[in-house]
Amino acid sequence: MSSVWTFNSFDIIWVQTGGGPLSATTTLVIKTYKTAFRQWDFGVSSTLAVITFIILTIVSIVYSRFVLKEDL
Amino acid sequence: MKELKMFKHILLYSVIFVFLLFILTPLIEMVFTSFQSMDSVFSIPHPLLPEFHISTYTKEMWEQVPLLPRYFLNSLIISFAVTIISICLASPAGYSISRFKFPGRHLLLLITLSINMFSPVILLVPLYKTMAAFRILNTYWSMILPGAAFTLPFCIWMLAGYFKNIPKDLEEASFIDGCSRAQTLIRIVLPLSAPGLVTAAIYSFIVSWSQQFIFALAFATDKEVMPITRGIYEYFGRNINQWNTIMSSSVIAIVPVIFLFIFLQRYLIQGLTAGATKMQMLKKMKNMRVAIAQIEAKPGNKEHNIDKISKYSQKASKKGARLIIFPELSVAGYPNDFSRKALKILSELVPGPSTDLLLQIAKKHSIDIIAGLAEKEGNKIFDTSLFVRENNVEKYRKTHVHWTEPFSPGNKLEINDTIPGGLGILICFDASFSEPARILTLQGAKTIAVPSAVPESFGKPAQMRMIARALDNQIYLLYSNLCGKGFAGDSMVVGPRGEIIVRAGKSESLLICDLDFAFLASWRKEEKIFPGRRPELYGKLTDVR
Repeated sequence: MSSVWTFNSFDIIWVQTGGGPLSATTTLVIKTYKTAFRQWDFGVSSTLAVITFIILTIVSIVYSRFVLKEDL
Repeated sequence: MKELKMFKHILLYSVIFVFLLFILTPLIEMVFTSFQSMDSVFSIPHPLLPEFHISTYTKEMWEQVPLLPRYFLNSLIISFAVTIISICLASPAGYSISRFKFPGRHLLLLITLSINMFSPVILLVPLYKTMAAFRILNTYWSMILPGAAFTLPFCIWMLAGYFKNIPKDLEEASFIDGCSRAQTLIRIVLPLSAPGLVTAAIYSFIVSWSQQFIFALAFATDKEVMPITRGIYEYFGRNINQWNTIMSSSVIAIVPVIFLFIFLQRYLIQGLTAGATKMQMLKKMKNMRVAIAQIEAKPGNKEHNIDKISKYSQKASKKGARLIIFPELSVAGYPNDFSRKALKILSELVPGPSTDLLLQIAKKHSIDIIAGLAEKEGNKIFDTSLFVRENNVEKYRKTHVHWTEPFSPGNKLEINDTIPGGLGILICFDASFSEPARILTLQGAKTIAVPSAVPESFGKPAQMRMIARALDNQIYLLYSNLCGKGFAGDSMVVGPRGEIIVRAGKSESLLICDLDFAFLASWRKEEKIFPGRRPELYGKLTDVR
């Protein structure tokens, strides 16, 4: 679960490094944001978002198979 | 062994210590930095005991970013709105998931929850476009709506879990009292879930407080609506990062969250205990304590009989009963002489002197009374039982008059649904028929009182009839019989499974019994008599004479 959260973490990275220096700390999430609201390229940004979404969905499904099954 | 335990403790505490150090160090550093001047922030070596400049809080912070109070207010507005929206929506949603069985229920919850697996950043572009279309960019709504969307799933999940733990029979008791689903949710379920609601609210508030940053970054460039988490950003990067004021404003920004937590934690405990007492109160509500007075009524001596009624009413009230049932004709006494002339002397109008006295007794002891008299109306005389409450009287006239009695029959079989469970009254011979009891039950009666004057010779069959009526209709039957010369006594309370709960002997006595309507409801659910009825086959009941 925490790996998913870390994957999603945005604010800490954004505030500390803004994805820099030279994209060294740019994660998918940061890249998605930058493409949309710095370069104003909604198309590419959406593509990145979809990729992130797919990755996280796979992780979520695997996760729910293993863990949530016991809860429900 | 002891040493091993000790070692375990030490290990545990050191792990916790390291963990806390890891979490708290930045916070402590933040507070320290916020009290320093810019010169000392980067001085090397870093002073262990920092300087103490209150001026960052009193002056510089506000000068550098004059809109700070506004940002703070904005944050509060947004977080409160998010909290209210998600609680209002999560309560009914969580309730539905916990109470109604519909296909795909678990999947629905899982999908809803999976929203929390994704960063809001993924949805920024579609959200941006949607908000642009609705023209709510740069408004509070641009942060409130996505904020609520992201806190809702967890709130639903948490409240659904909470509602599931609230016993269903509490709700059923409330249905019995005539509450609708929505009323039950608002009056019973939500008050009992106070701790759960508070936890969900804290969660919404805190998450929204920190998540505003992302939404503000993307959707709100207007300083008028900017939240404080975004506002702090203003201290960065002009010529130099003003670390001390950044930190002091950050302290300000986390104060409400910490404060809220401390304040509401106390409420949380209060909520828990309040919930427990409410549970007890409700338990009392769904139970009703009743009394049956088995007395010997002197024929024609109303004064003596009413005196006795008063005495027993007081006793029953002291024992906590809300309703007391006296036998048939308990005011008038069961006449030895059934001649028309004798009856005329015995009978009286309702309302009349006896009614007034009974009203006084009911008021004085705050208890509902069922007592019987011979009621005169025109030329007719009825065998009537009065249901006397503090400020009104209802009457039931015996509908099935025994062939030895000269009374006129009443023509109404109705229930009184102002008391929990709905109350029906049948008098003595009425209970020998299966139909009247069934008709009262079909109208909603959960309790049927049967004031009677069953003679000694017929004691046993009468008892069996009472048991049969209760068992047939899955109700509580309160059988109050005369005792003494010639009468059987044997008054009793029969439960919905036909079980005798309490029974009197042959002499005068007062029975006290708690009627448990939740039990009745669960029995009806288990033994499905009423859903199994085939009324279309029962036409002959009314066709054949």
